[in-house]
Amino acid sequence: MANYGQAGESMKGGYHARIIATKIIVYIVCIALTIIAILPFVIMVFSATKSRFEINSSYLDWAPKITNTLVVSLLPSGHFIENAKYLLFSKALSLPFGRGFINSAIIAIGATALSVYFSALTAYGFAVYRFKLNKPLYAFIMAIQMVPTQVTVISFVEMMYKWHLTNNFLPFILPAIAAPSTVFFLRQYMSSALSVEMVEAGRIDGAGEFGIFNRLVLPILKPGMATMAIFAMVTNWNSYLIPSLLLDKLDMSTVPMLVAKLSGNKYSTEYGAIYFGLTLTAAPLIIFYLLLSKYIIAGVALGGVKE
Amino acid sequence: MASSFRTRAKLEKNYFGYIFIAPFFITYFIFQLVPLIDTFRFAMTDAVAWYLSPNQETSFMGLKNFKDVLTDTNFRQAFGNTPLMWIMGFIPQIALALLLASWFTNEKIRVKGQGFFKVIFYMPNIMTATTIGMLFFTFINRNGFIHNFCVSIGYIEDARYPITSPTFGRSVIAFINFWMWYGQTMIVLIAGIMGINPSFFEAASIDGASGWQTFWRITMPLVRPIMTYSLVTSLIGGFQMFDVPNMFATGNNNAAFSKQVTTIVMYIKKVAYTGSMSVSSACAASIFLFLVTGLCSLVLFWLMSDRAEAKAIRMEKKRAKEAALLEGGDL
Amino acid sequence: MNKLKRVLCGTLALALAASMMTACGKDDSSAGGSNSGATGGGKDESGKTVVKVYTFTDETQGMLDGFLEDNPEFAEKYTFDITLEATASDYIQKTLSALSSETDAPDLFLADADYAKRFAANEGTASIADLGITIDESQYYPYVLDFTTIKGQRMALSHQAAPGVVLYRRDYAEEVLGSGDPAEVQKHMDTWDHFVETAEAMKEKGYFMVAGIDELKRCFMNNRTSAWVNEDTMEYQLDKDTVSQFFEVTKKLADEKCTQDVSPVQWKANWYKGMKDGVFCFFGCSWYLHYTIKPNCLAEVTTGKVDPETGAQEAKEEDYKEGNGSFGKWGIIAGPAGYFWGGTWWYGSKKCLNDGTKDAVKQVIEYFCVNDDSMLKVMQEKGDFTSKPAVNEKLVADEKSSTYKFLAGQDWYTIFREAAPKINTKTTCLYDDDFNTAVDNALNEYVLNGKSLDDAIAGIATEVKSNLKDVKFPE
Repeated sequence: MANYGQAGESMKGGYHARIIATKIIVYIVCIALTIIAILPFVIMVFSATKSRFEINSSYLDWAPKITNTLVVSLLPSGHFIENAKYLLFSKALSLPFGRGFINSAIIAIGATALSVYFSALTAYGFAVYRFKLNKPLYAFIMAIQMVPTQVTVISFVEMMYKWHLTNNFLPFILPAIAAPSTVFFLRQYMSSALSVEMVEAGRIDGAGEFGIFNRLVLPILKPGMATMAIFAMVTNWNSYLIPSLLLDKLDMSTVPMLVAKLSGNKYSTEYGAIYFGLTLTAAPLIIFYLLLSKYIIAGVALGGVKE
Repeated sequence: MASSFRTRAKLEKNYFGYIFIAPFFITYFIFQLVPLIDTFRFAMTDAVAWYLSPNQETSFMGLKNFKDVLTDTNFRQAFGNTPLMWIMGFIPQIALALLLASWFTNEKIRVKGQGFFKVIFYMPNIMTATTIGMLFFTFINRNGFIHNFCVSIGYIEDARYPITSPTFGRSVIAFINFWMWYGQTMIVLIAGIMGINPSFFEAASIDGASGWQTFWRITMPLVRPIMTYSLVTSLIGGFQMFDVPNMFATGNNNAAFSKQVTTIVMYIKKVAYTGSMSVSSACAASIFLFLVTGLCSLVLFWLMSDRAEAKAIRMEKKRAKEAALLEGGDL
Repeated sequence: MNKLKRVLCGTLALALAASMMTACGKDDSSAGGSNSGATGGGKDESGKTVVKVYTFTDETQGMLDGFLEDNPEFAEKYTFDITLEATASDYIQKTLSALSSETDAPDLFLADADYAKRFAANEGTASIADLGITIDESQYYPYVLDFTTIKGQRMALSHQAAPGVVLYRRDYAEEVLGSGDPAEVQKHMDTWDHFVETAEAMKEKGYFMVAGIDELKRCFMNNRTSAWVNEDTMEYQLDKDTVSQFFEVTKKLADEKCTQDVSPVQWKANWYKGMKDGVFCFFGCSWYLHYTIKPNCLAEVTTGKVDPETGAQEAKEEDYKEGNGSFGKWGIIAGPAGYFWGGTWWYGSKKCLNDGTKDAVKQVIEYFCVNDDSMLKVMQEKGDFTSKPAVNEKLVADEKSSTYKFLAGQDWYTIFREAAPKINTKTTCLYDDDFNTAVDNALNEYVLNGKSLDDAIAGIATEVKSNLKDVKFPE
């Protein structure tokens, strides 16, 4: 160790300078990235306060040429309420965002609840019982994680049409029971959080197998399940392709479908209203995220190292 | 006594395993496997969308749909666009993520406010993709933020013109993908690097390895499995790209470069549910998507995972040996 | 974990509160009560039979309200459940999928020109004869009937004809061409060569000729010599001369800086901006005059918002005065070629034949599309133009109306009557909606991306090939 210390001493000056230089670069890059991450949302919010004409006329004489666009984009105005009214209540547009939030919430909560509960059940089945097909079936679950879900979209939609399940939320909720990556995550989680002794103790107390799972195991798995629940919520809330193919009543539209309608509609020429609509759909997610960011970041880290 | 009781109880109850995993497999069978089989089945017929003709009788077409899809210019275009836009976003994504991860885990730099930066960098990932797509489309439209900026720097000489360059369009979409995902990759890599046994770094440091050497010789080989994982999941996601580019090429949102940003899934949806609604051709295209993603994933796993793992194991042994030697030396 | 719970509960509560607020607001603003999801032929709370209606335009609501007022006996027995979807592609998919359903199918549904034929060809559509409606075919403009005729069967009727016209700025004409008089201006616009010359003259004085590169599309496309797809052989047919001419004229206008935007602008913000100032002419039609250009030429409206199509409702009558935007500075002429823009076709579904709403559907269609007296009454009120020449003869431009003042005292019906018989009827096929998109994209490639004319036009077939499997394309 002494060796190391000496070497460090002799190159101390240059070494520190280098560290400080690196530090400065790191902070510059991080701050730049922070701006890039936030800027689009900031422009979105400010643009939502503008009228059509303010968005159209976009030159300021006092700002330098290159930065003009940015300055203009970051100047707030007073048409927020007006845009809101136009988006939500005008006869031309009147997209039912209120219903959209409820619909998305029903789908997201339903699918999340099923996916988390049944994944825990499945993972528990694999973790605790030694049955013949345990290994091959588990390998199967690992393998199907890699099948792209979009491959089956068309035949899934066709099947739902045949079963008259269009304009129904079940096609988005029920399939969540089979969520391979959640099973995989919870199986990993169990190997550290769950002890076989506990299950044994439950059996000795005379509890049934389902009783053990529901009363003893589920409480222990809660943190892991919560992590998965957050991600399942977000994924289901944001999903667009299949809902857009299976829900065609305006009152049953989900939030992403309404976003797509913002300009797929020939009536919507109000940029201010479009920006307002985007802000409206982004705001709940941003709030949700900022409140739960600690869990989410931890969850991302956990999910990633599972390989 | 107790021990044998335990074993017996376990054995008796083992059939419960099947009961516990049954819901998963039943659901998977109905909602995933049957449609997957249907996809293959439809692809060999001349089926059209069910709602266009509920009582249709289909006839067997053999491999005709596959041939048609392969010779279709639009499919080829979509098949080129998709991986191109993915790779354009992925390279900067993984590079930046790696750079940030190495900075954030570097003991000497000790970046403050890491928690804050992680939260901010990851934020775009959680947003609704359609919202993001729509937002950027509005930006590139005339009078949008990006369009105005292009005019002010002279990239667009005549403000009457929209942004037309396909490269520009693809770059915007690649940027969105990059922007939404580098934070996620970074967090995953940080977790991976933190998981590396600190004694490796110590050993390297004692050896007098520079930060750069440590990064390439120790960090990289050990996080390579994680990188493989990121690469494969990103690739699968990339081939399925839909929500964002779709906002640049449908309805009123028809950019001048819409053809150059059409992805495979957009093609599939269009074939299945517009015009003559040929579900069979769409299914044939889906199968190509299935095969290509599967193949790419396998190749990537084989290329990066196995050999890298073997290398990492060798390296670990070597380091362990050296560390042991050093420790011995100290004594 | 507690925090997690609190946040989740909070999110839920917020979502519920927000939706309740918006739901209440909605009830106040639109008394229509659409999207209730009722089944056609079922009964509502007051025991009336529900007639389920699908439409793409919010004009329908007002028309049906008027119908109920006019037919109190009908109103006692039936009630309408109206579903509105304004986006064409969504409306097509939604309606076709509903028609395949035994429970969800609408009884009465409407179509725009781009997909009128598709709906007519659908298995779930009942013919006019099935509905028990008899018509004298010679009384209609031929295009209105041909549009929805499948194998000799008339499948739908339209209440309106939408002859295409050109609306122009009188003040610019006076400055540039020397006279703002319609007859004089028509002389400068009667052929495409003259049109381009006028465009260049306009540019000299700093005015744009048209708003965007899609302005001339309908005018050219309606004058093709053949439909995109031959109905009998299902072969792809290309009238290359007309399409090339369209592309070349448009590119010339774009290159010469005669277009305000070099992109498609219809139904977009800049289109409406051009109506207020700076653009010389717009290609419009009967409904366009009332609902699109008239409200959108105003710079200021008392409600603060101009609503693109229902502008008449949001721009109050007192807004229509000279000096507000370009109001009162417009004239109307026939333009370089006859064409049409849209139309609204009414269909009965096969379902309505059996669910007890057949008579209701029949009465509605007869009221709007067959009966001369009611047609005259409805269209006179709207200032619109019917599908029957004889009825149109009786329509009189109301000199007190804002449209009359908008056109600086010109009688719009004279121009419509002149333009309507010129409409070319043989250019429609099942897939016009798909071809429209393909033409837009091909034009983009030619004007914006520097593709050669031949390549761009060849691109039309290439683009639709993958989703029109039953059409035969030349190898």
